[in-house]
Amino acid sequence: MKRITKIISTGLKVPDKILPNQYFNEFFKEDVGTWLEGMVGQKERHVLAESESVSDLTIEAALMALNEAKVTPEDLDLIIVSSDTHEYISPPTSFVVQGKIGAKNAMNFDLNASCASFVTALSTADRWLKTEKNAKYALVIGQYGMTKYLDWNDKYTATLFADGAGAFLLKTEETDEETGILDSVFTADGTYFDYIGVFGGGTKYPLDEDTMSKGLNKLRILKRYPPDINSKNWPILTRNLMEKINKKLDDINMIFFTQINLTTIKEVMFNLNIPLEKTHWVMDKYGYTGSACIPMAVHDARVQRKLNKDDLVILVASGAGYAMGAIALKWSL
Amino acid sequence: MFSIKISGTGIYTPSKMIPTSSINEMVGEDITHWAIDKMGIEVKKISDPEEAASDLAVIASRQALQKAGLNPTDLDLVIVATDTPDYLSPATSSVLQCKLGAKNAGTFDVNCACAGFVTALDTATKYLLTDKSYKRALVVGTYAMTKFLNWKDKVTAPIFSDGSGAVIIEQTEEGPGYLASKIIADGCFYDYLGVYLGSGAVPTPEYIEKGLHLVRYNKRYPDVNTENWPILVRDTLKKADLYPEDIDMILYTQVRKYTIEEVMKSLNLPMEKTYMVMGKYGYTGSACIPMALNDALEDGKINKGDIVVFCSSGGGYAMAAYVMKWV
Repeated sequence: MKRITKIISTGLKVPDKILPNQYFNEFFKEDVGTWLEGMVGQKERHVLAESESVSDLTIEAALMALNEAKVTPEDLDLIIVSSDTHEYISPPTSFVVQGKIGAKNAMNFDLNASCASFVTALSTADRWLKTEKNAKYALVIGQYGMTKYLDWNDKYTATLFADGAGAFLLKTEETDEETGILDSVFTADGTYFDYIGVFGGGTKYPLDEDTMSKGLNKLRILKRYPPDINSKNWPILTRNLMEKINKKLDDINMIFFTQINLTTIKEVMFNLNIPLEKTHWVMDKYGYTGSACIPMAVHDARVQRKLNKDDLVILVASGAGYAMGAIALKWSL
Repeated sequence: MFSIKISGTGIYTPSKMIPTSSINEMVGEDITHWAIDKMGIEVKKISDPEEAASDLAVIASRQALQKAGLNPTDLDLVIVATDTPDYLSPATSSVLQCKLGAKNAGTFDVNCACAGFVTALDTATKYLLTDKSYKRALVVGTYAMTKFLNWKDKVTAPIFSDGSGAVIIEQTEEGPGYLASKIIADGCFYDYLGVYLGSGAVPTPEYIEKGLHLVRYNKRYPDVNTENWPILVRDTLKKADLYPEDIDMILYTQVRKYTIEEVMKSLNLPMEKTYMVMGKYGYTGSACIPMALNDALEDGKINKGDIVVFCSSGGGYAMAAYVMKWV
């Protein structure tokens, strides 16, 4: 018998407000929709209203996962909120979530590895559950509220980013079966730390007139990434993970990627020689939702009955800064 | 079966120092009795305007690497524990990895307010315990809260200082090392104390003008530490079949000297078994426990075979404890 961690339910929440490509065509008085749909794969996206906050989504996604598994908030031993769009600088959003859902027995913290946060948090929760013998349930939520930081006049960022939350509920058990979370790999290259981000408001550029006048309180692309950074690194990361779990690429039943660009995903699938049916994307309807996009894509694939019990599922993520992570799961639902 | 040991520590405290008593004038009230006698905070250490949280962390990290006899490229994992990050995005651990040249390390930030360091240490420990490919991790607490300080606020202005503390942990065959850990939380206090700036509180010029983006003490906390620290320490020790009398050194979040004295009494431990640095470094949040550890080690207060406990709290709130046998 060994201790395993498996996913027992999932949740997803997006705001009601929808911005279709047409909205941006009109706003910028030029055709941005053709590029958004053709290259990026986006048709529309959901954005938070002024009165809504990212933790509202996080809580809804969390409750959906809890309800599906009929697990109560008091049953939770651990909550990790994974994001780089936190409710506040301090305290962590996990405190807000724990307090509001009444998960009084759950230790909790926020984890930030930019858009690779969710995969990193999932692996972290797995290790917590495997080493803490009295723990049983963990909730890992990816949340994204980046539209709050958008400069709506910047057509490169305003059109791409959207809001949403996705959650996985994990349970640990003793079994002989090889199931649940198998293993993960991470890699990072911090030399890209000053390329894209919300640079103002922290301790580097405190919010003052200078920071505000430079617009550093908004999401900014200060330098351009090499365009092939993901298409080059995702296959390497995936191969490293497969080697670590001692499986072949052919063994993969479903593989999910950070939903930043559909063209990149297609290139990577081609490079890995995996048929396109073995991936799933949601940027067409949800836009780019960063640290939330992978659990959102997995949840959506479940709803569309694309996942079966015992499928080998791979999640591959990358985030600004730059951090990458991939995790292998034997699907348990 | 291998375990986890701390193989190096490092600290950084800014050179700019003002006596806490000098705050009297700024806040227009004599806070000396409260801040110095009760809290134990005799000075404030303040980073330069051009120094961000990662700059403090780099210096502490290099020192820890040096003491562990490692190069930055030997690191498999870098975790930064902070609630005063460089940027809102990306993570401060990305910046630190770059500045250190720790190119083989995976990176992420942990935010558990001032319980962040012990939570991150526990997280790193679990990576090393469950995965042979993680042999060495750097865990850094870094704190630059003076950047968010309202110097006219008599509650927060005397307290917060800047600093960083780092540890290297490694897999070891030498002995038990890490023994147990426990974290508890009560998120219902999330709106009591914080820096309410983020996607949930987008700063408008009006928000900034009113100083609402600065660290704020909105509601008065009940004395949760005096009540809960002894319980947490006993519960964590129990997981390793230990009792308070087994403790050789226990290090607490350095927020209030009087609380530490009360808790030591409650655990029936003499004051020699704790070590305090808030007098010389001010309150440095997620950095204060590794800073205290570093100085306790240099002062010869921790020896091989000692049972060492870290006990931390963060506003909002969470409490984390970690027990190890010093290897």
